[in-house]
Amino acid sequence: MSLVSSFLALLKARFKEYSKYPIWLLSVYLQIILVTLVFFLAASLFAPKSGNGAFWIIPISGIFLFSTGTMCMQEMGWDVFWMAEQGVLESLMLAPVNPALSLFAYSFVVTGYSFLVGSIAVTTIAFFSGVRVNPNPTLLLAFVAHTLFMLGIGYGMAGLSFRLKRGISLYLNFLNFFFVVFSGYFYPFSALPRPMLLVSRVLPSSYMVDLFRYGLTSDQAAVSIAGLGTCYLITLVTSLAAFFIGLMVFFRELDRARVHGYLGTY
Amino acid sequence: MRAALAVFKAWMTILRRYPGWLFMDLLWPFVSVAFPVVIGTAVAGSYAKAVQNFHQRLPGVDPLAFFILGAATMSVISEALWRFGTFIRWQQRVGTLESLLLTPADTTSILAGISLYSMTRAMITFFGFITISDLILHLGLLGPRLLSGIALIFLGVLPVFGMSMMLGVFVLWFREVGNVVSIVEWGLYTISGVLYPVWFFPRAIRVISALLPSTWMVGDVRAVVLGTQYLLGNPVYDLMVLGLMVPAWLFAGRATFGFVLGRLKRGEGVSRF
Repeated sequence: MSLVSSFLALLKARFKEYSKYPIWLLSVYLQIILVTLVFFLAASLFAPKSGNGAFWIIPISGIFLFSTGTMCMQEMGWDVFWMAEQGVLESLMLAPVNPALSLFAYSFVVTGYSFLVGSIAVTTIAFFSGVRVNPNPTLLLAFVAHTLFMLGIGYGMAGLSFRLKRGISLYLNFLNFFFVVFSGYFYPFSALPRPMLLVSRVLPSSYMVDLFRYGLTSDQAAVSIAGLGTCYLITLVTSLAAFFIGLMVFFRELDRARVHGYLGTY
Repeated sequence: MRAALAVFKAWMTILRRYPGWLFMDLLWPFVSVAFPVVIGTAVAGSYAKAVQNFHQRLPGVDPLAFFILGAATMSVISEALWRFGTFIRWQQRVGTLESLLLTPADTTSILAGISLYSMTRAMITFFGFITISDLILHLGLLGPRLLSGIALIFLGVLPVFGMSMMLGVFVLWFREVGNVVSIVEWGLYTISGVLYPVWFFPRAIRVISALLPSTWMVGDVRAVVLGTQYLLGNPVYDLMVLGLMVPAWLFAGRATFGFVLGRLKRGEGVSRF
């Protein structure tokens, strides 16, 4: 079986597996809408009574980027544990097929689905809030870079889950919170106090968020964490680095699990 | 009773193995309060202006105390909502659900044990969150009024367990827990007035929210602790509504769960994964 046909077979299997749970798609879509509604209705208690709807651009960009990114990270991070729980991990990872193919096939399916759901949710919110967008190609670049970054972290977490088993959930949830608080997905960086801003500046995802906002509005004022050039540079370098480092961690941990014999335990 | 305590003990043992769960339980209310405050401050321009705008809508109420009590009460509701579904799904995944339901212990005892565990875990989060918030922000939440609020929570969480049992039915059917419960949880978050008053909504949505125990729990806990208005303007009326919801939701939940479980047992069984 060639590499391509193995990949396609795994892609088909993963696609079928995901399609078994249509309620999942509906749920993710509804959650995105409801979470936005809750936080922004609460925040509107603080807004002047005669405000305009322009501030919805921040949640719109944040929701899309965060929901697609977090879905990639979470699904990748959980993947190994789920396979272990179903008892197929050992056979998949010890098969003659390259174990990375299963991971890549899953990445394709998850990224595709998250893009679809995120797009529909954002379109709905944009339609009802009346926000006008003025996109440029940077939008796509920021999205791809952010997805690679999150997939990289997800791969790393998947690798660590060989050792941590169910305990991986704590790390994944913590990372979710950490990114959502410090990467400014749902608020401008100007709203953060100085010590928090210092942490935000260390996180590559903050630059991706700002770049995505610029891609959505074509307004350079949307970039506040650093200059536009710096944002491009950090986004490109760190997204690729995270992706490949994540893969390296995954394979190193896989080898370790094989050698020490805890691959199939959970 | 012994079966219920055995289930409670088993789950507390699992909780002790994963202390990180409690940390994450505690983190979420902080995030859900921080979000609207940070976004609102950014929109208003400064925190002082944000508070000024807030007081135009809710005069005399401290915005942080308002959000903290809402988020703390919601953390109890969320825990209760998640517990049955998570329990059933876990047993389905590891393949022990069918054998568990074939043991001599009756299903109600097992559900009671899970409820006890759920309430213990929820109260750890509730107290932890309120205490830490109060120590940092000096909001005066820790006082005798909080005890009345806790009594209301113990009453209000009973109908939520009824809702949770209904969600358990969905898990038995769909073999999926996270998404089903998440939709309901965020639905309750949205229309129960957790982070804003229910009068924000049009009349039709207010009618729906009035049918939910979470709306009364959140509104009344705030009224007791912060002195905001009761939903019906009188504590006795509010208490009567909440009191009526207890048997109604518990009965509906237990009956639905029992009915579906019985049908599944007679049919293909409950071991489907």
